[in-house]
Amino acid sequence: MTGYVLRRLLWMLPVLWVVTIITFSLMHAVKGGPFEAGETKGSVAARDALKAKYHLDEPAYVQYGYYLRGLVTGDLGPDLQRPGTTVNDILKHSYRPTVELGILTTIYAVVLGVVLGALAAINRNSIVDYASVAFATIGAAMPSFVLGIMLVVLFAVKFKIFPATGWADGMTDWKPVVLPVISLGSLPASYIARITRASMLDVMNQDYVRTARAKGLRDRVIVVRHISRNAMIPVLTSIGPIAAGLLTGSFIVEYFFAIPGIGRSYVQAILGRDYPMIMATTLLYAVVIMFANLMVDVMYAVVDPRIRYA
Amino acid sequence: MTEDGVRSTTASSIAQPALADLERLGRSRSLWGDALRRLVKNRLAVVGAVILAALTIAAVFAPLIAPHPYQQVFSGHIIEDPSGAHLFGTNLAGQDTLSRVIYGARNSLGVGIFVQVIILAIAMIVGGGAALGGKTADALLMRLTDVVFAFPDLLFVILLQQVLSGTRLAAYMGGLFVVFLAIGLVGWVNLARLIRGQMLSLRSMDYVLASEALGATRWRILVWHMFPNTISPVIVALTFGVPSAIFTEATLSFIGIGVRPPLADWGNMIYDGYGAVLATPWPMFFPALALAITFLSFQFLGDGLRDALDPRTR
Repeated sequence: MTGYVLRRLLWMLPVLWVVTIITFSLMHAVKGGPFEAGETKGSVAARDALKAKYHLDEPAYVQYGYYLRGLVTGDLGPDLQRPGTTVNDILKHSYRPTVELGILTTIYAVVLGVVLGALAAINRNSIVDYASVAFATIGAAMPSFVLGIMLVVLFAVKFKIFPATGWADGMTDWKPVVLPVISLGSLPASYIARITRASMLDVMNQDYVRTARAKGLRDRVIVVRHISRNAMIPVLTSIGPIAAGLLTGSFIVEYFFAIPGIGRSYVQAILGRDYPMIMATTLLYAVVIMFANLMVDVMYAVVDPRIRYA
Repeated sequence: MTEDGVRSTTASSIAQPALADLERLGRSRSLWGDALRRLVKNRLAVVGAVILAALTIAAVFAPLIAPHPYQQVFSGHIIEDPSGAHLFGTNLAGQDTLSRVIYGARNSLGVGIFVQVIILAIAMIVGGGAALGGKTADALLMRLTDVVFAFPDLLFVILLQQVLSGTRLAAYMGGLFVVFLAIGLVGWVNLARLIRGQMLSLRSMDYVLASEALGATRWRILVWHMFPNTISPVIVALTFGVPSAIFTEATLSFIGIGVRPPLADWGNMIYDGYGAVLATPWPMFFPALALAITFLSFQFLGDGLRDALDPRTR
C-alpha cells in the first residue's frame, strides 16, 4: 500500500510536467499577448520594455524554460495584470475562499446526499422515499447558476436573510457562505443521494443482511454495521469525480457570488492573456484533482478489503 | 463504472431468470429486441424519449414552428409577462421568449449530440486502442488519459475555446462548433476508461476464450463478441453525458464566452433574464424550465436504457 501511494505521488510529477507543456502551448496559441496594443495603455517603447522585462519578446520555448526554472524553485512568476505583484501573492490571498467553499460544499453534498439516500432506502416506497427522490431529481435538473439566481432572489432580495454576494474572510461570519454552498452543492448532493439509495437497496437484499436479521440483531445495528458500511463503497468512489467537479464548478459560483477566490480570477486571466496566472491556476487545480483521486483510491482499499494495490 | 463492475460480479446481484423469461427462451430473440421491450415498459423513459423527440422536431423545424424570428424585436414590448400575443412573454430586448426557447433547443440538443459524437470517437480510439493494442499502447494511452483527467475540465474548456476562437473553425455554426470541440476534447476520459475496462474484462470471458479456441479470427471476435457487449454500457454513458454537456454549454454562454446574443441560447437567455429578474421572473423561467426538462428527459431515458440494456442492474 505504501509503495502504491508513493508511486502514485511520484507519477504526479511527470503528469504535471505534461500539463504545463499543454497549457503553455495552448496559452501561446491564443491570439494576442498581455501587452499587445489595445490591451494596455502606454507607448510602444513602454510596451516593449515590459515585454523584455517578462521575457515575452523571446521565443516561446525560451519563455517556457524560464517558467519551468521558476516553477521548480516555487516561483510562479509575476502577475502580468497587476504589475508589481506576483502570482504567489495573489494565490496567497485568494486560495482561502476557494478552499473553504470546496470543503464546506463537499461536506454539505455528502451529508445531505447520504442522509437523504439512506432515509429513502430504509423507508422504501414511503412518503420519505418519494420526497427525497423528488428532491434529488429537481436538484439535479438545475445548473448551479440557475439555483444561485433563485436563492439570491428569494433569500437575499425578498427576505434579506443572507447577503447576495461576498465571502467572510476566515469564516468570521457564516451568513455569506450559505447561498454559494447550497447552489454549488445541491447537484452533487442529489447525485450522491441517488447512488446511496440504489446501493443501500442493493445491500439490503444481500444474504448477510438476512442472516443478521435471522440472528435477531436490532435494526439499528444491522443498518449501521451491515448495511451502511457496504453500501458506502460506491458512494466513496463517486466522491472523487464529484470533488473534482465541485472544484472546477466552483469558479462559476465564485463568479456569480463575487467570491474573491481563485476560480474567479481565472477567466480574467485568460481574457487578459495573463500567462503565469493561467498556468498557476491550472496547475493548482490539477494537483488538487490528482490528490482527490489518490485519496479516493486509498479509501476504496480501506473500506473494501477485496481490493489490494500492489 | 468500475464500482459497477465490482458489484455486478457478486453472486446475488445476478438476476435469477423469471419463469416468464424462461418460457420465452424457446423463441429466437435479439438482444436489441429484448432491450427495446424492457425500455418501453419503463414509463419515465418513454416520457423522456417522447419529450426529446418533440424537442428534436422543434429544433430541426424551428423556423416553421417558432411564431417569430428569434432576433425580431418588438419595440415597446419589453419584458412583458406571458400573454396571448407572446405565450412566454418577451425579454429585455423585446424579443419573443417562446421563439427564442425553440431556437435555443438547437444549441442545447446540438451540443448534447455533437459533443457525444466527438467523445465517442476519441474514447473508442483511446479506450479500444489501449485494450487491444498491446502493453506499450495501453501504457501510453492510459498515461494520456491520466494527464487529461488531471486538467480542471471547465477551465480547460474555456482555454480551448479561446484558442479555437482564433482559428477559422470559429466561423462554423456561429461559434458553436468551437464550443462542441472544446467540450468534447476534454470530456472523453471516463468513457475511454469504461471502454478499456469493458474490453479487457471481456477478453478473458469464457465465451471469448471458447471462440478463440475454435479458431475465430481477431476481427470476428471483435465484431461478434467484444463490440455488442461493449456497446450497451457505452450507450448508457453517452446518454448520461448529454445533459452534462448541455449544462457546460449553458454555463459558458451564461458567463458570456459561449453563444452570444442575439443568437438564442438557453444559457445566455437565463443570463439575460437574470438582468430583469427583479421586475419579472418569466424571461428567466422559461429557458431554465426548458433546460431542466431536457436534462430530466435524458436522465430518465438514460435510467431506462441502463435497466433495459443491462438486466443485471435491477
